[in-house]
Formats: sequence, C-alpha cells, structure tokens
Amino acid sequence: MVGTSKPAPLNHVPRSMTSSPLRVSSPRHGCPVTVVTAVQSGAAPLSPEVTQTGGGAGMKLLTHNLLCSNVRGLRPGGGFPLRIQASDVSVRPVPFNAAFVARLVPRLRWGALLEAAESLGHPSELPPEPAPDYEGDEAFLRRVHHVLLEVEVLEGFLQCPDSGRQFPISRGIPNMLLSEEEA
Amino acid sequence: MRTRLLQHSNAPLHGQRWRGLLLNREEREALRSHHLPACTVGPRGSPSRHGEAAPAGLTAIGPPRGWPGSTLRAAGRDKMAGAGRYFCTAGRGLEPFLEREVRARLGATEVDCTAGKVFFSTEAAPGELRKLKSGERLFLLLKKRTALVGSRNKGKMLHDIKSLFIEEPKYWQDVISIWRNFHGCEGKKDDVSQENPSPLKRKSKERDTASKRQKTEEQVRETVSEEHQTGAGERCVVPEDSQTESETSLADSSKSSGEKAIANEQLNFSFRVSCRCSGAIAKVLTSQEIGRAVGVTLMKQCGWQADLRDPDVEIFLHLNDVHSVVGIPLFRLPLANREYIKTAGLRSTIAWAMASLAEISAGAFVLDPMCGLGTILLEAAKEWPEACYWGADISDSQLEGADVNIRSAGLMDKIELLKASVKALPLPSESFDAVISDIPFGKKFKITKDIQVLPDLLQEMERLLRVGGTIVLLLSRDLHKRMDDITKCAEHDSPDASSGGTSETTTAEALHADGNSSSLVNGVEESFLSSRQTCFGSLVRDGVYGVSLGKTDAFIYKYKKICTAGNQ
Repeated sequence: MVGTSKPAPLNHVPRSMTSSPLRVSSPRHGCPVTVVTAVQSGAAPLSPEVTQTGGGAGMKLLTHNLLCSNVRGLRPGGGFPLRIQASDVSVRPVPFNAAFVARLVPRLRWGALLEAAESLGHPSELPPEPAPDYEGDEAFLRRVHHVLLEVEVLEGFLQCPDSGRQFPISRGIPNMLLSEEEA
Repeated sequence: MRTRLLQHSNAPLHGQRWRGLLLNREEREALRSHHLPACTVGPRGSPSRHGEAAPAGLTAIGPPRGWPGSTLRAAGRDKMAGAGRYFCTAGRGLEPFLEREVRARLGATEVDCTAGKVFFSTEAAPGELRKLKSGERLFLLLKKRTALVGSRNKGKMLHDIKSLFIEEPKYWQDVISIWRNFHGCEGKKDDVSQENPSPLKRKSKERDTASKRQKTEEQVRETVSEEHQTGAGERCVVPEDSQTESETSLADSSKSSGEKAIANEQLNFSFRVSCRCSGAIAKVLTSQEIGRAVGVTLMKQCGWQADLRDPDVEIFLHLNDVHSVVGIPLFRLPLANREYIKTAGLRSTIAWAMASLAEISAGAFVLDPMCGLGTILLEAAKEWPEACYWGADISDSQLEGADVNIRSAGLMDKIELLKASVKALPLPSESFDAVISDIPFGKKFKITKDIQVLPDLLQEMERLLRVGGTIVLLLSRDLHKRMDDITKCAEHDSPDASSGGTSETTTAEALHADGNSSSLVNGVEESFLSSRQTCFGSLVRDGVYGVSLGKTDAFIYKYKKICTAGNQ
C-alpha cells in the first residue's frame, strides 16, 4: 500500500478480516448479482481491540454513508446505499471526541450505516434510530464513533443496488469513475 | 485601485490602503507615542512626511517600541515576554489575508499592511509565530524608515544606507541576543559565543541546508518574484541562492577585510546581507553594491565574519519607494514550507487562504473535487481539524501523492479520498458545507477536456452544496475572464434575477475588467451579497481576490449558496 512504513508484499495476508466477505445481497428487482471471490484468510472474529499497525487508511463508513452510484438511468434513490463487499477490512483507533461525533449523527443516513456495519461483521449494537437524547449518551456516541470512523475498508467492492455495477476499492480508495458509455 | 480587505462577517472594516502607509487613527497614535513617523502615502506612492526636518527617511528616531534597548530591558523583563515588532512578507494579493491572520492568531497590534509586507507587534512566542500560514518569511524588524531620496550621487546614497547600520556596539549585541533567544527556542545551534564550529560540523550542516535549499529553491525563487514591487524598478536578485555572482564578490572582499575586523572574541559570529531594492534607488545602485557596502560596514562595526553559505544570522535589507526596512529573518526556511506537507501542489499560502475563506465550522463537511495532491485539504484539515474532509480526483498518480501527503501529515483521520470525476460526483445533493478547489485548467496540469466544462463544474458543485454553504475556487486569468461570461448568461436564466441588482453587477464587472497589469481584483462588499443578485443558479458571488502564483496571476472566487425558489 502506498505510504506504509513497511512495504507490504503484493499478496500480503490481511491482518484482520471480516468474517463474511462474501455477503451477497439477495437479488432484488431482477438485478444481476455478481459474486466476488475474495481472499479469505484467518477466521478470527473481529474485536475492536485488534488494531492494525503501520499503514492502512481505508474507506470509512462515514464516506460510505455519503457515496452513491452515479450510473445513469437509475430510479430515484436507486443508487444508495451501496452494498459493501469487503475483502480487507481493518480497524484503526481514532481519538474519540464526543462533541464531534454528536454533530455527525444528524447528518447520517442511519439505516445505511447499520446495514454497512453489519455487512462488515461489525454489528454496531446501535438502535434502529438515534434516541432523542443521543448527545449526552457517551456509550452510544462511542459506538457510533467506532463504526463510523474506526472501521476501514481497504480492499473490496461497492455495488450499486439498482444496476449491480461494481465500484472497486483499492488501497482504501473507492474508484467511482464511470466509463464513457456509462456516464 | 483599491483592494478591499478580507471580510469576515464579524470583523470591523479598517480604512486602510494596502499599497500605502496610510494608517488608521489608532495606529497612527500608537506610533506617534513611540516616536516613529506616521506617513501617509498618496495615490502615486510618494510619501509626504509630517514634521520631519532631517534628511529623508533617516532621522534618528530612537528604537522602535518593544526593543530591548528601550523600556523592556530597563524593566529587566525577559525579552520574550515583551512585544516584538516584526514584519512578514507576503505574496502579492495575500496581504489582507496575512493581516487578518496576524490579528487573529497572534493578537497583533499596530498592524501596518503595505505591498508585499505586513508589519505588526505581538507578544506571541516563536512557536506561535511559526504557525503563520499566509506569509512568506517572517522577520524581526530592526529599522523602518521612509524611503531614501534617490539622488544621482552614488556615494551619498551608499552613505545614507550605511548609516542605517551604524549604531553603538550595544545595539548589535542586543540584536544578537534577541536573535539567539529565538533560535534557542527553535532548537538551532544557539551557542554562538563558542569558537567557530569545527569545519566538519559546518560541512554537514551545509549539506543539510544545501539539500533543503534544493528542495526549497523553486519556492525561494517564487518568493523573490512575489516581492516584486509594482511600477518602476528593477527586480534585484536576492542572494539567497548561493551561486550568484554578487555573493562571491562579497566573499572576496570579506577575506581581505575580515582579518582586521575580528576584534570581539565574544561575537565570533557570521552573517550575510540580503538586499532587495527597487524603485528610484535601483536606478542608481544595484543590490550587490549595496549588499557589499553594508556587509563591510557591519564587519567593521561588529567584528562579524561574512559567510555566504551558512551564516549565523542573515541581515535583510529592503529599499524601495515606500520605505527602507532592515530585518532579521527568524526562521531559516520560509513559512510557506510546511513540514507536514511532503509534496506540495498548490502553494501552501494560497491553499490556506482559500480554506480561510470557506468558513469551515466545527462538524463541517468539506470537499475538494479536484484535489490533486491534496494541498488545500491538508491546509484546511490542519487549521480546522473539527471537520470532515473529502478529496476526489481522476488521476491515480495524483491520488497516490495525496495519500502519501495525508499519511505523512498524520491526517488520515480527517481526510478521505475518492477516485471520481468532478463532472459526476457520486455524492448526494446538498451534503457539503464547503467546496474548495483549485481549478487546474491552463496552469500546471492540463485537464483533458476543454475550458467549456466550467459551467458544468459549477453546476455540480452547486448541487453538492448545502444552502448557506461556501464555494471557493482558484481560477487562472483566462478562466477569470470566462467567469464573467458564464455568470452573465446565468443571470438571464436565473428566475431570481432582480432588476435592482443589475447596477451593482455591472459595477463589479467593470472593476474586474480593469486591465492594469498590476491589478489585484477587489473583494466585493457585503452589500453585494445583500442584494441577493445570483450569479449562477443559487450562487452569489461573495468576493474575488487577485493573488500572485509567482509567474502568473490567479483569482480566488468565493460564492455562497442562498435559498432560492429552486432549492426550498
């Protein structure tokens, strides 16, 4: 990966793995589903204490919460949320700032966040909706902080729910560029 | 021509002209109480002095306020605790930004904004001073006088210049001890009372500084060109690049006179003179001649040795039609060199200035849709860390560079990258508080498509922006001209175009059409905003700032998105 202090060999074994990289969403509305074969190694269940040292800045779920498919001809809202198929996920601790997280909460698409966290094997223990007094609930804010900012997807795919189009994530950077025909 | 100062919504408007020394009443009074001349400069830049009888500009006035030779030392206070007087050079067009920054960051007082320089007093420590983001180099102010009168007599002029440096020995000792305080804080070699460091040590230091210089060479050259005084005057080579001829000649002369000058064992000190002159003086004397004369004077005065490669202290002398200034640079590297940026794209001072216009508040979502190496995001995230930043680019190599930059700066928690095209960003509407971008057409990087895409870009940025959000763009001169066409078209299309606003729009455009080579386009007053004249859909122009990129000019545009029928 770019910029890591220890250069990672090409076929490096990801140090932390999601337990279900092959989450395949059930076909909806007749969209074709592409099964992505992902490298799976180590089935150790992920716990927040497992940290990855060295490089590893990946796509956060905060970013995923914003990303939508820009493929043409989708139904309104059909481009969101993108389904994550991750082959390399890491957890990297980020300093917690309650006020900062509290500001993020109202801007989040909550359902998409929960779904994404689940799909990465990080069930978030978050309620279906933020409670009205969430600002003062530190435990809640810490859980939000964790799934939103500390879980990162380094390699994998984001799939448009409507069209099935796959956007690769490589070295933590999602490639959302469309080809000439798609744009 | 007039430049409007940067408008922060809460900041009072100062009646200053950046080009002259017109001070506001408060500053004039402050200066008067410390016996410095308060000069007003007319529109043509010719100073008119109040109550000065002595030869132009060189009245012995007494030490500036805060100088150790005055009350501070007498009071026995630690020099650092008192206010020092400084000046900071700035790229053309960035002076208002720097002025605002010194007030905000350093609580500066007696701020005097002139072309290319901002003078100020502050009690801030060197660590704080080092954090200035919109300046080029920071100097301790030693002397500031009104401009020397240009006369044909070289000898007389040299004499006048040299007299700036003739002081009691104690004066220069004080200067050195203050300078040492600063460098002590910075952790440089601070014990200059020792013998000369061994040749080996010095060589290794030279190697370091040489490599640093190589890295910064380009930037230093840019610094030189940015200091170019507009109007008449030759732009002189600043002997910061040690390969210039002027420096070798100074070295030769120093060898001969150096030996006799070593009187004071204590001050086994080396120095270099950097001289810049422009305007009337430059017609008579070259910077090399002046530098040489001053160098010799200082050697005789203080017993210092001239060292062009790696001096202990650098004496900076700037002579132009407005003033004569003597200073000592506080830091070896320009402020514009950021230790947290590995590979610079856009000049960091301009990137910071743009970010400062974007009104980034806590919890804001900020996007740079053509981020390149991420310079703008890095500057913004460093200064306003309580926000979330995203950068998008179509180029793998740029994104890779940005990734390295972000990791090197330790800002991985703040800035996320995407590979995406600005024409179709995979982001929802009205989701960002600020969109900041350096539009790369016609500058360093050529974008694949035509300049025609500009309206599309604007439209996409407008879509992404929340109502009340801010767009800040950096446009080349060509694009700047084009913007007027684009916004003219949009006015006709926009359903909210109010007839009352057209007259103000024409005024604004007339100002932009001002074709002076030295033109720096004006900022637009808040009254413009209040007219709610939309320039493009729901975007209202809230300021245009002309800045120098070194070889070319560019324009920073600020837009606000307002609530319209379309986006309610």
